[in-house]
Amino acid sequence: MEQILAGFGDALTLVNLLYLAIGVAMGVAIGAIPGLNGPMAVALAVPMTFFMSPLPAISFLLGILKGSRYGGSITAVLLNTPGDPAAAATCFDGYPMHKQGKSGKALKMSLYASVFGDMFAALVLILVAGPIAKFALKMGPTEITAVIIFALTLIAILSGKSLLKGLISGAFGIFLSFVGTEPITATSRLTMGFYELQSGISFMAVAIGMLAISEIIIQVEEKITGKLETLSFRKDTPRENRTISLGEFKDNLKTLFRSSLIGTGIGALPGCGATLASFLAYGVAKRVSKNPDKFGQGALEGLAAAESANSATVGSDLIPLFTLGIPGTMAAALLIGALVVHGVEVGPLMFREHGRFIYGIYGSLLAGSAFLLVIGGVGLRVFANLIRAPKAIIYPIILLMCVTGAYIEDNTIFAVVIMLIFGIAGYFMKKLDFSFVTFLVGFVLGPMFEFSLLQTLNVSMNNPMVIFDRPIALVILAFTLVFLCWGLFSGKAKKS
Amino acid sequence: MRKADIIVGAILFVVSLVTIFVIIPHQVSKVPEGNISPALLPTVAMVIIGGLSLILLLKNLFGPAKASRDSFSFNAKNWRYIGIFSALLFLSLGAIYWLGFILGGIFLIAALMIFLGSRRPLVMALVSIGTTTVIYFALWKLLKIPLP
Repeated sequence: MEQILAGFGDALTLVNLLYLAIGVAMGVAIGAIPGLNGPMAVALAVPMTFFMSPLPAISFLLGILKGSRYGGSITAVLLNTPGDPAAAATCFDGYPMHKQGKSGKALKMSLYASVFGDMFAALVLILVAGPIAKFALKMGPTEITAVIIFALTLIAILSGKSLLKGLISGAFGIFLSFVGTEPITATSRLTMGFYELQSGISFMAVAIGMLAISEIIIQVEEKITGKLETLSFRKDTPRENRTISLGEFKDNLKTLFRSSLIGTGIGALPGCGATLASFLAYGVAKRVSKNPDKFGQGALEGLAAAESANSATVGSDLIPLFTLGIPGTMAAALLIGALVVHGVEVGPLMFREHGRFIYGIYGSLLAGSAFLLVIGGVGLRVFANLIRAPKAIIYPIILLMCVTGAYIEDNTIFAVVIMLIFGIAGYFMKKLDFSFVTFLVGFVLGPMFEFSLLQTLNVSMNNPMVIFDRPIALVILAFTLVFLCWGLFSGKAKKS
Repeated sequence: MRKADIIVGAILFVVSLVTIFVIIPHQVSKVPEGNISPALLPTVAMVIIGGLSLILLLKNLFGPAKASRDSFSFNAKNWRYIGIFSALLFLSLGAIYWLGFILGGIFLIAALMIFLGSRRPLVMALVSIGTTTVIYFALWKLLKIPLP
């Protein structure tokens, strides 16, 4: 108890709070730049922490992670450009809300959902990290494959107007995700002789192309033909389009809890990450929603689900890290590096040897959520003001930001070419009613599915029956089957 | 949309066949026996795409005609627009590649502003030079992130 109080006291010192606030502010600004994401920002910021004492240094880095996860949603809502891959699902309902003149509402919901998810995961980390980490360790490749099979069924749920076209888009996304080096045998595959494709097609280039560039092409076409819809964030917007009422927040509370739980669970699994969490939470929210037809057209629930799930992974990433010393993601691996630099040995003995320090980090995580609420609120106002510029100015600026974002992800002009190709492809997909959502879900899940499936088969000497020896995987697959049947029968019932 | 779906279904079906029988065998290296072929999952994905495209094609060829609310219209004007806009995008990219980020970025912003009907040279100069310079200094000078 003494250590807990001392740790929380350390977290609340002025120096620690100052670095935490600077980290959150930097994170929000960096996250809002397409192509720059949290782990990248942490990698850039680690050298800055060398002169700091351990707790403010780690708080600063955690602040960056928290801020960047939310910052990614600002451009997702206002420009249809995900700041980081995890914010791609935020575009699906955030941008339609912006087009309907509900930018303020969308930005506030994404902020509240981010803070909710972030706080939820921090509390889970503080209260029950040990049991969750032990459970997460039981999740081998077979169980992860089962989770991804469950996530793949979302392609059918998220298909939109045409199930057939949605499935084709999803399968195309999966197919294109296989371009590059095969993960087990390291064999080159479908690269067409381009060495830049050895590491696969960059997700950021695909997401920025499909979501932002295609939208710019369409908006410019509509501006030229005089059919442009109004994109507004004006002061004369009705209050209900600018704010989230208590009633609306209460209506979305169930979605927030469910999605934060999904985000926390997925974040605790090594190698899964925020993008899978946000897509999964979005799909589940649509499946259980009373108004699934509104998803993709500006559903507050969809936005809340995607944002709370992706923010929840920030805290839950730390569960395997603090309890077992295992980094589940790139961000966690970078944090290990920073902890080692500051003389903190990561692993199961961490609580015994650095108890006060760990509780200090817990305190910083909670304080960071409060800072995110305040600084994020300021940030959304700044960005919303910037977006008020005339379209003839704003579109060229967005385009240059997209080009920069695609370039810095891989440091090649090839990624920018890929982005433009996917932008043009996205224009035709939009015209022909092929779903972007299912394409991106397929593109994200394809490599994860392949990797875990091949691992499972390799470990079991190519025996797929190994699944019957893994009760957790069996339960997940049974749940998937129930989920699919439920979708099928409830869909039929609705039609009849 | 029916006619467009027939064309798209046919194109995708042909693409899937070409991918399965030509591209995948030539573009995926063989692995030693005992390993799962790296071509397996891409082939499965393409078979699914081929099957679904065939259904899309047949459904629209022989299925009952449905009155679609959002009919697909894509005329010569649209083709001209997408052609010019794509050319502009790739030209700007070429400018960034050959002239560097600052000059290329200024060209991209100015060209698109003209395309969008902006005719005020001062505004164009301020926006294009200002934006490119801010991005350049923020990313390259401050964060040391390489730019083209």
